[in-house]
Amino acid sequence: MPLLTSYTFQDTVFHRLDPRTKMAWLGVMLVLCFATRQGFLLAGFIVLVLALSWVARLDLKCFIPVTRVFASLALGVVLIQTIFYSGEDTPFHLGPADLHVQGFWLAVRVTLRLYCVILLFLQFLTWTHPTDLSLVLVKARLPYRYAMLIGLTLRFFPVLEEELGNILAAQEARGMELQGSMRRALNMVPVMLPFCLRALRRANEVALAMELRGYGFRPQRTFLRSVEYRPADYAATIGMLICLVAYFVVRWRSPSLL
Amino acid sequence: MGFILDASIDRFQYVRGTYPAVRDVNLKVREGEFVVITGPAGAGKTTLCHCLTGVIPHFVSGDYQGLVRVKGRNITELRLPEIAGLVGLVLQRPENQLFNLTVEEDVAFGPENLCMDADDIRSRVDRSLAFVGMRNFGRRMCGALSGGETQRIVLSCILAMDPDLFVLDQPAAELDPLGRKQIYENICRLNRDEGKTIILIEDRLGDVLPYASRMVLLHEGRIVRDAPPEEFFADEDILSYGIRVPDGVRLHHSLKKRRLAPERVCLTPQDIAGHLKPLVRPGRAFSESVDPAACGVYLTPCPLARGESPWRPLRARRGRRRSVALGRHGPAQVAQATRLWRDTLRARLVYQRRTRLWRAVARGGRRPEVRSTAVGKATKAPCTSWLTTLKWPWCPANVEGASDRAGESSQSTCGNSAPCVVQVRALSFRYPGAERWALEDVNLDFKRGELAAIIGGNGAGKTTLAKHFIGLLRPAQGKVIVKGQDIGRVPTARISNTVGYLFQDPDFQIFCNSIFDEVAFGLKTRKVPPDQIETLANETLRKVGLFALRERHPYLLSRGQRQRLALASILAHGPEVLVIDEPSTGLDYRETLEIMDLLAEFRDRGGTVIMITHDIEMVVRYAQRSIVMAGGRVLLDTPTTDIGKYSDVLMRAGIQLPQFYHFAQALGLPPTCRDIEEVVRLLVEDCRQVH
Repeated sequence: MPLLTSYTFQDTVFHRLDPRTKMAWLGVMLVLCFATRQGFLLAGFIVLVLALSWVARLDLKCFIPVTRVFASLALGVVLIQTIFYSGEDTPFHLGPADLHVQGFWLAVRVTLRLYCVILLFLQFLTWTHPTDLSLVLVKARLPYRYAMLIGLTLRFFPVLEEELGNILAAQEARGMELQGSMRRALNMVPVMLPFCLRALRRANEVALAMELRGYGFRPQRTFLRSVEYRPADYAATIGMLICLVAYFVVRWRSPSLL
Repeated sequence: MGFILDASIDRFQYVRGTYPAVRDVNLKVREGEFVVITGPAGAGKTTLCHCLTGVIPHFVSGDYQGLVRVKGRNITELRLPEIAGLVGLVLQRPENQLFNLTVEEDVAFGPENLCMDADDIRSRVDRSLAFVGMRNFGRRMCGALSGGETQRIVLSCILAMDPDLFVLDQPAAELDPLGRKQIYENICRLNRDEGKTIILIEDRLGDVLPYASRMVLLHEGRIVRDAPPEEFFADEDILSYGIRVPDGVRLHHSLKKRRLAPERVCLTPQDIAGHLKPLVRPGRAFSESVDPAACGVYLTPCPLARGESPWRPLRARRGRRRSVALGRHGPAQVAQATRLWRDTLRARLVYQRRTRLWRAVARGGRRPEVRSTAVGKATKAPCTSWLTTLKWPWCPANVEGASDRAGESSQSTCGNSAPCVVQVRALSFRYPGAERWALEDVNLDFKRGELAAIIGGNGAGKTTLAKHFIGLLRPAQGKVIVKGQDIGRVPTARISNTVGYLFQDPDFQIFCNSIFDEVAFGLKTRKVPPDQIETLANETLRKVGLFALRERHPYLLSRGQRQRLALASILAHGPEVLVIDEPSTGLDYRETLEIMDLLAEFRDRGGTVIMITHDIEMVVRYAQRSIVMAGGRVLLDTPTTDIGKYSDVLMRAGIQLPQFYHFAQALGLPPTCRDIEEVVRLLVEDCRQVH
């Protein structure tokens, strides 16, 4: 299962939204994530993102690999903070170790915040059509040669990831030990050469194939797809803005609550 | 007039090239022609097609002198995107030509660049998709298409740009027979129904012969022959260029040597049957009256002239000569007929002597016997591993089993009692997230000294199965046993001591800076003493014919050489089982035979070869056993000699029998024929009895 996800075609209300609305959702949620100091709110945001993804019929399984990697990282952060926290609290003695409750909660907040951000970006990648993203950029007067690069990059990420997996498998089949993280890291070095070489060759071939289909024929080009801001988009954006304002109003009134 | 393409290319040399890749090429193509350009690997086919489409000099630089006009316009003066509307080029690898998420967007990509409005684009997309028979595929993700579908979509992408000239560079190189057929049919319709001019580069000529109106042979960058198909194949030296000539042409030239051939080349089975039927004894029941042993039917798959194999019993070879001589021809004809064999025989004499000597030693001086049953019982070299014969004592597999292997080898000279090396028991597998089982209840045994072919269309589960042999995939149910040990939890790196796995793309496994290092790598990771690494690596490089190049960088080698290098890097540490995925992809006929000969030699030394392929010709020629797969199941597991009886099963798996089977069928010959020479021999025999 690849670590990164890519757009999967679904026909839901959420998929039909304008990419700018999805960007707004991403932006608003990021602001909220970083603004809040309450763990329960962060947990709530995570639940909200997952629930929305579920409603939008995204494949929740594709979040699993990232979650797995992140979980091991989070565990480390929590442990370190619990043991080595240098705040002014009274530690809780457990055998030879001093455990800091405040440090524990801090680490939990940090990891929850980070996890929420990761989920948001994955969600964005999964439900935003890369071409739509390019179209928005073209509308923002960016030359299409650059705007379309984003779509291309997103398209080839999973391909490259799969290729890396294949090369690793090939090396393993030749007797290279890839078990154990230290060994794996060391043995990645020689593997990078064929990987980069292949990636470059692929880039070259793709560039040729694009030119052979007339890419760069004129300074402008047309698109079969189009993006436009529909009433649903307006409604969603306004709704999100109201929530954002409401959050800050409540926080201004009673700072300790949120 | 009426030339759509007028090319005169004096020379083109790549920046780092040492000789011109293309020189003195004059090619004029009329509107509506279907030109097939062929030639061995490295002949400059792709370079030529790049010149014709403006990729050279616009995208690839080098020393270029030439003028190419398409519809009267000099393409050197146009930019590449401008040429796109005139000439459509389909490149070799389909996966790099689709770069959007969905099929629809990819097909629309060309028209979008031409600045058409959305309605025009929509209608072109619909029309192009409908043309290749994939009307409902618009919303599909490009990454989820099969190889054949991808290539058809690529074709429709080019079609959407509506050029008048199509240049296609081996569009079906990676496809299974069914996929190939579909793509060629589409190209043919482009030519016949839409009146498009086609220039197709292809090395499997059998597939495109029915459509071509003109054939061009490229050799060392020059056009050496340019004629309509029948004339193109009429001369016998067409066989000497190392290209995959259709079986009908081989049959024709073999018959011609025996003065049996018709004046013109018969290319279809019906043609040739029509010509030969009067010569053949009417109503003869071949299958009963021809005793295989008597007329020297080979017990191993029988390669043609080039692949004359050293392990075949000498008696059989004599038998063939006799049957040629019996054809009531004078000495001159016999000499001509045996010339091809003689050349290769001479080249392999040293090797053959060595093999015989070694075989004699291993058998305690007894001469090998010919046995008249098929798989397993064929006279095979004794089952001593490749390793043991080369005396590499440090391989773990070898140290522990050295003594008992010697015991085994004496009892396992006959196939059926040979020990099983790889056993697959009730194996099922499903990729994570997939709904369909990729493998379902597969049960197979592979014996020592066996060359088995796993055949089937794209997506039949062949590679998935093969990856289980080395632990790259682990069974969901069932188990895989290698040399008596369940490899369920054994790490791949350790299994690789016994099982060598060669990927379809050799570049996956090549990463060192010199060829020598590449071969030595596997030995180093296995802690072989440094002085022995040198000897061993050199020995292996000699074996695959890369010794002279050992200081070179692997990426400077040709595709065929890289394939041999990848094979050498696996063989160096002496595995007992070799699993090889599509050994013939990207190689020309001669290179394919070279690889196959190496595999056959490995097999003869007691190794086990499991080959995944859809190259049925190589299967029939080299494999003793054929396993046909479709939809993750084994449909058929049979001695290759019997494969002719199962054309219906093969059809279901998307595999077509080699052409000569159809010839044999049309001529009423038994379905056990293994190559064209056998067909010819039976025919000659028959004619002898008639006259």
